[in-house]
Amino acid sequence: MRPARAVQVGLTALILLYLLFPVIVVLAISFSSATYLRFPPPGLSLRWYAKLAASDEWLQAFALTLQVGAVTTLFSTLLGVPAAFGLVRLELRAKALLNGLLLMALITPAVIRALGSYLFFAPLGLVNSVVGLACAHTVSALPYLVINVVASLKGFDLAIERAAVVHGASPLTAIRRITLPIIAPGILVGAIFAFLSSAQELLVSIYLMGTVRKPLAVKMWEGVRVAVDPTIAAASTGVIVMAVLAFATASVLHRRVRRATAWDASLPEAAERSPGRV
Amino acid sequence: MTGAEPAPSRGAAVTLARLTKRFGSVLAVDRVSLEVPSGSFVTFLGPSGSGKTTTLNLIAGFIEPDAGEVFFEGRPVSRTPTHRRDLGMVFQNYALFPHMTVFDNVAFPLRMRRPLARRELTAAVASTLALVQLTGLEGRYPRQLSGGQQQRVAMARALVSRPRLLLMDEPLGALDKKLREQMQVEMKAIHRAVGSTFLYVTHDQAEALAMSDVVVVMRDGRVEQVGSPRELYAAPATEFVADFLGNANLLAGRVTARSDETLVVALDGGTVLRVPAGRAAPAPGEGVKLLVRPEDVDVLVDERTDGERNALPGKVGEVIYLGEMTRVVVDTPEGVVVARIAGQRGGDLAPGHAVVVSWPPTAVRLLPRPTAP
Repeated sequence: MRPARAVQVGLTALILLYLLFPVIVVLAISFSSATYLRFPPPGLSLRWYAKLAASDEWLQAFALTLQVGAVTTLFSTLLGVPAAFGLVRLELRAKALLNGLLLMALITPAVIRALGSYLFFAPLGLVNSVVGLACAHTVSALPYLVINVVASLKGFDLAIERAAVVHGASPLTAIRRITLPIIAPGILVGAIFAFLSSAQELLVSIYLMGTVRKPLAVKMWEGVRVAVDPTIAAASTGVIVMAVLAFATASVLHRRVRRATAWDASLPEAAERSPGRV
Repeated sequence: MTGAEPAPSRGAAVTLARLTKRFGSVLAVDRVSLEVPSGSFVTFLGPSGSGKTTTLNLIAGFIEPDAGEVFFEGRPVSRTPTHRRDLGMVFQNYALFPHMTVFDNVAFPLRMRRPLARRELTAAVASTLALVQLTGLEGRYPRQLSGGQQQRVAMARALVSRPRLLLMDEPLGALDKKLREQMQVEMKAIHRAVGSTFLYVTHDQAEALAMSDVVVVMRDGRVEQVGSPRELYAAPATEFVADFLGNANLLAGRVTARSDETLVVALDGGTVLRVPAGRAAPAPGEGVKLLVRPEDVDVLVDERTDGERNALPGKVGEVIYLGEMTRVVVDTPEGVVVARIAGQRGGDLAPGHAVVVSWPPTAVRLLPRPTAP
């Protein structure tokens, strides 16, 4: 290997190590045999995973996070996809303003969003409810969807949708049958980001759901403050695995969506196989 | 043809009445009026920005006119949304549905427009694919097809529901020359077979001449001239049309005298020519341009020309051998004159040779000379 190349590879490896270091530490500690957080671990064991699986509290936290994440993803998708169509397709005078508002949801300090959500939701009885927390999470999850779908729509050739309309599809049918399947990967990536943003969100969750039931992020935060045993590392590893699985699913679905959106469901002749399809 | 094949439909008659569309400060389509007879093949021809595609989009209903109206069979369609206008359309980049097979792409208009039993649907798709000579690729996806095959799928999709009006926006633009010429022939045959009205947009004059019953030459959003390909080529009304359709030698001059049959024209370079006076011949004193098509021009090395022909002395500039003919560019006192010499003559010409270019006076078309801006 030439020296320049060696330096390049070495630097790249260092940067990757730097970026992945926290993940590596957490992964390592979760398999530790020690009863306290210590890196590198003195020995290996699966005891913290066993403890995690045996703990109702942790399992409930996992379940709650999944619920809130799912509802957040649903809300963000239902709001974000039409919003993206509006931002790309309509001639709006307030387009810049709307874009700004969306981005603001990303850059507003989480503490302020948390406090604002609490003061707004408490009188409405939306505190300590899955739907309430999902509503609050949707505020910060929505931009991920909008940004991804806007990017997909901008790259989408409008002539394809027009081809559907000119050949007899109503505008809504054309969007459903043609446009949405084609931009599905963009929607999917946006939805995954929305889910992950909800799953890792801490401050708003503390304000809105900190007392009775606790989502994973809150539970972990408390865990670090009160007890320092590697169960937290095991739980974190669970979250990391969740994220990796989400992206793996996305890439598999992406391929399957393409195939499934050909004419199968909802048509009378669907039962038969199209002769052309191999 | 199979039993599922419907009889050729009668094409829709289309009327455009003072159709106008403005984009910002640009008048993209400016009071375009046109009668398109049922079942005809009409081509909008013009350079980019001439408003031809916008006109097509107005007819499709993708955009709404600022003024004017489109009529199908005498009925105004401005309140009919695009999907109920019973159209077929071939787009410039084909706009095939990338997530569907060839079969599903072609079946799409039928599924949207008339619910058919599975067997009828399959038969209709198969017969349309046979019409465009693309059988056996039903299971492929568009990305697995060549450009020419994608073009045929787009044609099949546009034709399958037998719409009464077919719109085509530069459908052959992305194909190579040989394939394009082959598709021109096929498209004409398809037009005869299906009987729909075809509205075709192109900037390629050869394509327009080869396929159309009627050519509409557009310029800056307006209709410059309407006519059959022969009319437009032989008798262009303006310099723009003369130049856009085929190659044109245009010689500027002024009428100095006129009799019943003959017009005497003094060209700007000093040459005096006699040409036949047409029906609406200009009066003495008026500026004119003489149009001579390159294929009417002959190039002779010796100075002998019979007095019947118009002749200009000159010097050969370029000789371009094209196989079936030779293009000779000659510098004359009246400017550059291009000649197309058919066959294998012209092999003895070389740049710098003194020659005489000549043409029969009957080959000359008189065009109005636009007043200097």
